[in-house]
Amino acid sequence: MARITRIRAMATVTLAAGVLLAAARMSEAQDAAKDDGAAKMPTADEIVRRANHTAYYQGGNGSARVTMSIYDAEGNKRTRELTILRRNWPDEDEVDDEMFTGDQRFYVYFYRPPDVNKMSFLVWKHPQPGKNDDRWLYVPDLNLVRRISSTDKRTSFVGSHYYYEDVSGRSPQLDTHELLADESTGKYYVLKSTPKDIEANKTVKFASYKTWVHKDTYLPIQTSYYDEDGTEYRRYQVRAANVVKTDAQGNEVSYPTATASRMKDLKTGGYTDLEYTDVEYNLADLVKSVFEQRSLKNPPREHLD
Amino acid sequence: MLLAVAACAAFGADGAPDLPAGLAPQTRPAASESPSGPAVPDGLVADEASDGGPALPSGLDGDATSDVRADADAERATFPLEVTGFVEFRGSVRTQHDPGQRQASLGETRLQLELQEYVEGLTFTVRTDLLYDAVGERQAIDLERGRGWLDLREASVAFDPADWMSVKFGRQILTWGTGDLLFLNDMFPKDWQSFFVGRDVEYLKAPSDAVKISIFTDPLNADVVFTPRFDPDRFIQGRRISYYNATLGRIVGRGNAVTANVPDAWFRDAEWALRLWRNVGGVELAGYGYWGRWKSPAGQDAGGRATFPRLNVYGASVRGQLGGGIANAEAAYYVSREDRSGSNPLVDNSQFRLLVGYERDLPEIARDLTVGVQYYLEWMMDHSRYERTLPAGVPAAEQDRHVLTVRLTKKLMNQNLILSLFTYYSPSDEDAYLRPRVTYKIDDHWTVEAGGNVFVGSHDHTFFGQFRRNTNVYAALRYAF
Repeated sequence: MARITRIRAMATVTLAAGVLLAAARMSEAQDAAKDDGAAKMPTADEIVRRANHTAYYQGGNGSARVTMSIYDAEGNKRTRELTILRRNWPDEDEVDDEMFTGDQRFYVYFYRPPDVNKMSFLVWKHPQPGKNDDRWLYVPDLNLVRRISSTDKRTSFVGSHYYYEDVSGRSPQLDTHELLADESTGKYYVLKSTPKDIEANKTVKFASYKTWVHKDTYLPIQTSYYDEDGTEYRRYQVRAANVVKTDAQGNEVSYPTATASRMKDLKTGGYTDLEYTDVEYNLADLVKSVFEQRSLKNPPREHLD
Repeated sequence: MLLAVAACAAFGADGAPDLPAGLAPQTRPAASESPSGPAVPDGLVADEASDGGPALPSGLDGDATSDVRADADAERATFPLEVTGFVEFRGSVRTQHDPGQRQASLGETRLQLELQEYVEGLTFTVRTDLLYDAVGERQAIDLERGRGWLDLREASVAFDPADWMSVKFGRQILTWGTGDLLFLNDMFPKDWQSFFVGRDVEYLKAPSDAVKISIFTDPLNADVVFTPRFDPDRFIQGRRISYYNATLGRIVGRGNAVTANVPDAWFRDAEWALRLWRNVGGVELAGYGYWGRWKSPAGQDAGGRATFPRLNVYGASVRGQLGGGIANAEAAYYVSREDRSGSNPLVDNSQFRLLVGYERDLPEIARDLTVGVQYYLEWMMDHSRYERTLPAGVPAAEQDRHVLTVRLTKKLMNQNLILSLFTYYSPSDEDAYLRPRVTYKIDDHWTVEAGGNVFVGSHDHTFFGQFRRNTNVYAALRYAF
């Protein structure tokens, strides 16, 4: 017991440090956004770093309830309801400062549809090039913990139009980023990203992608994927967002967060809508042990409802 | 609508940074052109005032909340769902005549109900199947063997006495080990009859009546399972699946069902299973121990009844990433305690079992395509003594039984259509077992499935060869709720 208590205390301390750091970064980002006159246009890599942070790494941890509506080309709808828990690994203050490319862990619990009820999914994300994520799936009917192959990060996440990579984040190090100055607007930085190693990324399927990053918040609002002919064939778009305020030891931090998004396959017309409700950051009790294999068979009930 | 307008206004007034000279907006990106497909919902009206780029989503102007809400939100699922389950119709039929069996192997309607309640730190779970089977003989309910119109799959209570400990008490499904449809250290009961006859793979696992205590610590995790009364496999008895009877020297069916002497004394016929495990940087290491009995018949008593002699199993496994896929290896040493020397013809000999497996998805070939291969060895100890003491006329098992398995899975149509083929092939036994399967999820509730259980073999007495008259095809329709 004593050991557990100590771990909890440590986790709280490091978490708090992470929160403070995040707060500092956040205000720094906002200042930068406000000040950047002609002389202070951020570099492409700087924008990518902040956008990646905003989209995937805010806070030491986070939790959200997700409703997924999958529409096929014929308009048939299928749904998924799940909770996603996330924790930066190691804690955020230890994450490499240059790029937010540190490890993260995700725990996903499924409520619906009935055939996946009580299924859970654990991902240890290793975004560094050349490394594959560790993934486990728990099948409750068989009481079976399966290990899942993760060579293909661009495979559909639970049958939706989102790929695993879209949910957990593609490593910025895999691509070369270019700021399209003439396409950037008063609201957006427009970035063009091209895979560094086409041969190594044979399975990527896109020639490049463009991201519209909101200047004030660094939240990526749209990502369009283009094939070799320059035709846009896949589009991610944020449909609603919210600035989530979190109190961290007396300091209020604000995390701009997408609360509704759509991924559309422009070739077939099929798309998936994601809605995030109950988005929370910096939960003191979202401790490390939640992201261990034990949670697959023993769901962290206090984080599910 | 208003929110979006307000949002735009807010951003205009807020004075988004002016673009530096020479960076004035030129052409609107393709993304902002009127989107094809579904209508843009309220709150996301096209941003006419925009100087390019996608319309800014609602909610980025401070406290405005998202106005895009799922209708599902109104009746969202709770944790856990109060009652879940399914209704299923499933039939299977032999593709050849078997003089010892009916032509149909399965014709059942099944209702599964699961209830989970969480009260004061205790999780109560009951999962039970009610079934009507047109093929089987009418049988009284036998919860141990899963006979009759009620099959209680789970009736358990779980709680965490400490942060580092979980306890689950009662009827439950238990699984561990790294094999894919091959079991070395998983000594929990299996239902081979269900597996072969065309039921859902869920039914390969039969429930245990046990206490499971899990302990989680940094250096090592432990699971201890105590089963106070021996829970055998729901083994092949000849009632639905014909098998090779060594005494009679031929394949027999319903007329020669196995009579078994199942040890059933509380505590005296108890089983203990232990797993010690830890994860080292994504590599899962585990050690196993089992103290109990052979789970399926592994001997005969003087009266010709099948017996379950005492057995200890010691093993280990490792599983981790390798070359973009998942590799696993597992070994187990089966100590047949009632025949340690291997010279008792009425009790199975000790064995060494080994498994090596590899699974990977193949994006190079196709999306959502996964291939898994396994090599499995069952090495009989003291084979020469076994041969020496084998009764005349009984065909001898090989010393080494080699089995190769291949699993191919391809998902199509947003993963709603799943094609899979699992194949066991034994070069030493010259037999094989194929499990082709097609599943289609019609919507969130309805699933239709068809498949087969194909046994091929040149000999009557080998593991899969003995089942060749049971080759069947099946179809099922399920409504889940």
